[in-house]
Amino acid sequence: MGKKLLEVRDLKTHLFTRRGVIKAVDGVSFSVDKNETLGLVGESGCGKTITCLSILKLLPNPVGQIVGGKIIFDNVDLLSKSEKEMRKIRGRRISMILQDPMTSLDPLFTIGEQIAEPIRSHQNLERTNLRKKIIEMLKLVKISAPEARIKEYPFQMSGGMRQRIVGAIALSCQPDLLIADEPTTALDVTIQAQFMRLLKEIQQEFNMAMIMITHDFGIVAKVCDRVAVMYSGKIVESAGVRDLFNHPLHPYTKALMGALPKMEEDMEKLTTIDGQPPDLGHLPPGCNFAARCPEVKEICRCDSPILSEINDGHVVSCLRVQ
Amino acid sequence: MQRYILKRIFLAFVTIYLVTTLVFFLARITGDPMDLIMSAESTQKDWDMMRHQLGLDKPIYLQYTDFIAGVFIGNFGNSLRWDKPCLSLILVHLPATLQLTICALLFSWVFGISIGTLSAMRPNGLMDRFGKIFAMLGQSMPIFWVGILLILTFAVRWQIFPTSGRGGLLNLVLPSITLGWYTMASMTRMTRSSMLDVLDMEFIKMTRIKGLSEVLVICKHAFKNAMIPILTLGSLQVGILLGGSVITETIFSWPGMGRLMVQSVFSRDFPLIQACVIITSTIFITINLLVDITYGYIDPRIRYQ
Amino acid sequence: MNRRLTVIGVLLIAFLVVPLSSQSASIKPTGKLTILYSNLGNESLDCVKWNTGQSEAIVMSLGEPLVNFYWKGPALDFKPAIASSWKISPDLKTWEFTIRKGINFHDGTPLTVQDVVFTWNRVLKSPLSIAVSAKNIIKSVEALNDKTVLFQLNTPDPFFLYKASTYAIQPKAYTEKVGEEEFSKKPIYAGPWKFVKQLQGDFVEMEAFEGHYRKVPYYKTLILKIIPEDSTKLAMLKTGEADIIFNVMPGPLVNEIRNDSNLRLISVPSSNETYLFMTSLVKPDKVSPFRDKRVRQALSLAIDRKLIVEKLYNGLGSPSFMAAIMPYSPMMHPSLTPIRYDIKKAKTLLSEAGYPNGFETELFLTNTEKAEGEAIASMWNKIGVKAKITLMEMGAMLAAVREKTLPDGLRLSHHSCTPAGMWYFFRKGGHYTVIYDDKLEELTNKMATIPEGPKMYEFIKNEMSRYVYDLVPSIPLVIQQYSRGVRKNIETSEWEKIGTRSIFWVPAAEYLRPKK
Repeated sequence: MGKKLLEVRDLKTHLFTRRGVIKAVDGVSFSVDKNETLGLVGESGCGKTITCLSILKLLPNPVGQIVGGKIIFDNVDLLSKSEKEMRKIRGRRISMILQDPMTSLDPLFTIGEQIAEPIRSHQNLERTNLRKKIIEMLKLVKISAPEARIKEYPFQMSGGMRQRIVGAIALSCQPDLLIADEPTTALDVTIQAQFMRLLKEIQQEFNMAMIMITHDFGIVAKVCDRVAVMYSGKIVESAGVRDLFNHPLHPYTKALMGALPKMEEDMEKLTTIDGQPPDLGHLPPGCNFAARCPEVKEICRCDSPILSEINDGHVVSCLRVQ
Repeated sequence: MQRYILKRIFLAFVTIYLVTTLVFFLARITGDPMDLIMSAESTQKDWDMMRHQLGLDKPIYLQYTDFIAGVFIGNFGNSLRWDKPCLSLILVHLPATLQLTICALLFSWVFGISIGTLSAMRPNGLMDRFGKIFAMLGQSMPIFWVGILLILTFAVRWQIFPTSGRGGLLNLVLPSITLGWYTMASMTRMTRSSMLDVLDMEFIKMTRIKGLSEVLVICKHAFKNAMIPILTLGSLQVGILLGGSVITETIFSWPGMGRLMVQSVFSRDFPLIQACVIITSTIFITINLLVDITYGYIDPRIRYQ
Repeated sequence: MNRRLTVIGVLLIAFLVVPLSSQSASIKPTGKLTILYSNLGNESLDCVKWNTGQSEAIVMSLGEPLVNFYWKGPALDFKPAIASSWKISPDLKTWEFTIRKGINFHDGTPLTVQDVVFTWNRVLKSPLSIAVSAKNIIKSVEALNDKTVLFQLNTPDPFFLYKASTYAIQPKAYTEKVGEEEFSKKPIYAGPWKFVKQLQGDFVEMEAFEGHYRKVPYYKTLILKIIPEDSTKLAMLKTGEADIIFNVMPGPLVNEIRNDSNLRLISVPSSNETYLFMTSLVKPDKVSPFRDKRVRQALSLAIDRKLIVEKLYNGLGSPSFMAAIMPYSPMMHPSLTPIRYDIKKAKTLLSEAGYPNGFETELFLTNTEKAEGEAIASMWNKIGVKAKITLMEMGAMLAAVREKTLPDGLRLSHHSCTPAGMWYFFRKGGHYTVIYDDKLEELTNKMATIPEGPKMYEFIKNEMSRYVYDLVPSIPLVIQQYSRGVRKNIETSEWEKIGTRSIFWVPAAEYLRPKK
C-alpha cells in the first residue's frame, strides 16, 4: 500500500474524573497507511472515540489527558505540537466526521458559512473563490442546487443531507486523514449505504486515508482495508479485513461477529455477548475480557496478554491463542 | 419575519394600553390626594376650589377619558405635588435614570457575561470559583447595604469617588456597581449554565475539529447559541433596573425616576404616578419588543416560523 | 541675584495683598455652602404655594416677609423686616405695617406697598393649606398710603405677627408681566438669596444677593439639597461634599457626628412638643375613661420621659410636663415641677377613678412613630392599661384626624408650645382642639385679648399654667431639640446667636461664614 501516514504507539489516555482515574485508552498502538482505510471496531465505551480525539488532541479539558505514548503523523509526533500548531493540522490535514448529523451543525449559521470557516482559517481565498469552493464542496457531497443551499440553515435539511454537509466541512481542505466516528449510525439504512459509497468515492478522489470507527462489521467489510478491534481501552486484535473475517482469533472478535445478522444462516436469534464491559476505573488483574470470555482459562484471570503477531499483519492479544 | 414583528408591535401597544388603564385605577386606590394637600382648617369652599383646580371634581369615567385622550397627545397633566407638567418633570429625571441603568447594565453584562463564559470554559477552575463567590455575594447582599459599604469605603475612607449625586463619570461608578452587582450575579449564573450547555454540544466539537481558533469557537459559535436565554434575562433586568433603582437612587441621591415615582406615590400624585408608570413601562415594553425582534435575527428557526 | 530679588519682591507683594484681599472678601461673597435636607416639601418657588415647613426653607431664603421671627428659647422674637414697624388697634382687629424704604428686589426694582398688597391678595385667593390659617381671619388688605399697608381682620388675633411672617413679598410688576406659572419657575424676591436653578426632588441652587438690606451673605452660592438617606448625608458631610445636615434626627447619626473631630453637632432650641391627645375629649357626649382627669394624670405619671429622651431621642430633647406651655419659660408658674415617673401614684389614681385593673385602649400611630408608641404602650402595661397599637398610613391618618373619625383612644402628635398654640388647642370647635373644657376656653379667650408679649406671658403664668398642669388636656411627652450637623470649617457664632428663623426649617444661611 505504501508509507505509514499515522502511527499511534502505546497511546495512553486517562480520564481524571471525580470518581477516579479511568484508563479509557490503555496502551493502544496501530497505524494507518496513506490511502488506506482502518476500521476501529468495538462496543460503545471501549475507547474508540477517545483514541481518535487523542489524535486530534481535542480531549475534554481538563478531564481527558494523554499520559503516554506517541502519535506520529507524517513523521512528526503530534504530542510535541503546541495548540496553535495543532489548529493548523485540524481540519486541514486531519479531519473528523461526528456521529450525529442532527447536532454536529451549528443551528444558527448558514451551511455556507459553516463550510467556509475551515477554508477561511486554513487557506487564503478571496470571496468569489471561497464561494466557488463552497459550491464545489457541496457538489462533491452531491447536494443538489448548491447555490441556493448555501444560504440555508441546518434545520431546513434532512438528516442525510446534514451528514453530507458535515462531510463537506470535514473534507473542505482535502485532509490527508479523515476520521469518521460512526458516521451513519444516526441515519436510516438506505441513506447509510449512500453515504458510505460517497465517502469511498471521495477517498479515491482525494487519495485520503480514513479511520472508520464503527461497531458494524457490515460497514467494515464494505469500506475497510484493515481492522483493529478494541476492547476496554486496548486493541485486542488487528488484521487485514479479509484475514480477520476468515480467521478471527480473539474470542471477543468472534463474539462480535456472532452478533452480526447473517443472511445465509437462518437464525432465530442473534448471539449476544453476556455481561458488561469492565469498569475502566477498576480493572481486574488479568485479561480484561476474561469475565465475559466463553473460552476463558485459569491463566487469563491473572496474567495480562500482550499483542503479538500471529500471521503477517495479524496481531492478537489473547493468552489462549499465543 | 415581517408578520412576526408586526404581531409583536401590536401586542406591545395592547400591553401599553392595559398598563395605562390599570395604573389609572390603581393610583386611585391609594386614597384621596386632597387629604395631603389640604389643611385641617380649610373650609369647604377651599376644598371645592382645590378639587376643581386639580380636576378631581369630575366623575371618574370623565377623568379616565380625559386622561386617555391626554396620553395620546403626550399630555399627562400637571403634577399635584410639584405643580409642573408631569412630562417635563419626567424628562428632567429620565436621563439620570437611563444613564444609571445603562451603566449598571453595562457593568452587569460585561462582568456577568465574561465571568460566566470564563467559568463555563473551565468548570470548577479558579475563575469559576471566584465567579461563584462574587455572584453569591451580589445576590445575597442587600443593595442598600452594598451601597453604604461602597460609599464608606471608596468615598469616605479613600475618597476616590464622590459619595453621591449626579455629575461626572466618577459619580457613576459607585451607584452603577451597587445597582449592577445584583443583576450581574444572575447574569453570571445564566451565562455559565447556558454556555456549559452549549459547549457540551457536538457542533462545538465540530468547530474545533475544523481547526477554528478558540476565540472563534467561544465568541462566535458558543456565545451566539447561548445568547437567547442571556438576552431574555437581560431584557428582564432592564425592567428590574428601571423600576428597582429606587433604593440605589435614594442612597446615592441620584435624581432619577425611581425617587420621583416613590415621592409621587407617597403624595398621591395621580397624574405623576400615571405618567411615570406609563413612561417606564413603555420603555420596558419597547426593549422587550426589540429583544423579541433580535431573537429573530439570532435564531433562523424563529425567523422562518 | 536679580532674579532672587524679583522673587522676594513678588513674595512681599503677595504678603501685602493677601490680608487686603481677604478683608475685601468679607464684603464680596465667596465659596459654596451646601445644606442637606431630608426633603423640601413640595419644593415650590411660589411664596403662596409652599406647603410644609421644609418647603419654607426655599421660599424664605429667596424672599423676605413683612416680619421675621426667630425662636430663641422660651419665646418668639419678632424682628422688623420689610415692615419697619407696626401698630395694632386695641381690639386686635386692625394691623398697620409701615413698609421700609429702600428695599430692592433681586432685579433691582424697589419694593413698594403695592407689592405687599399684591402678595397678600394672592394669599387670600389661595385654597392651599398653608394660606388657610391667615386668610380665614383676614377681611381685607389695602394700601393706606405709599408706605403703609392695612390689614383688617374678621376676628381679634393677638398672633397675627406670626401669620404676617409666613409670606415672602413678591414683585407685582414682574409677576404680572411673566405670569404666575413662569414666576414659579424663575422667581424674583427680596430675600438675601437669588434663585439660580432647581431640579425637582434633588436640589435648589441660590446665589448671594449683594444688594440685600438686612444681610449680605458671606457665601456666594447656597445649595439646598435633598438627601433622604441618613448614611448618605453623613458620608457627604464627612467628605466635605456638604457643609451642614440641617436636621439631625435622633438615631445613629447623632453619635457618628459627635465622634467625628471634623464635625460638630449644634443643638438649637425648639418649641416643638411631642404629645398624646385623646380622641374622645373633643366629643362631649362620648363615654370614655379619659373624661376623668385622674385617668389622664395617671397615664401621664406612668410614662418614663427620661428613658424616652435618652433611648429614643439620643438625648436630643427634654421631658415636657405641660400641655402647650414651654417648661421653664416666663409662661410657667414657678411652683410647677416636672412630672415624676411614679407608677404607684398612677395606680392609686386609676383605682380612685374606678379602674383598679386598668382598661383597654388604642394608640393610633403612623409608621415613623411606632417605636415611641410601643415604648409608651409597654410602660402603661405596668399600670394595667393595655394600649393596642394601630398603624395608619399618613394620608389616612390626616383624613381621620381632620374628620374626627378615630375611635376612642390616643394619638401621638406634635405641636408648638407657644401662646398661639394654646389658642388653637384649648378653644372648642377648632381643628386642633384637644379638649372641651369651659374654664380653659374662657381663660384662653381672655389671654387672646392681650397682644403677644410679656403681658400675655404674665397672664399665662399666673392664671393658666397651674390649671393646665392639673387638667392634663393632653399628655405631654418630650420637648424636641433640633440639631444641625456642621463641619468645623464653618463659623456659626453669628448664626447661633440669631436663633432659629421662622418654623425651624429656614436655614438663615446668610449668617453662616467660612472660618478663616
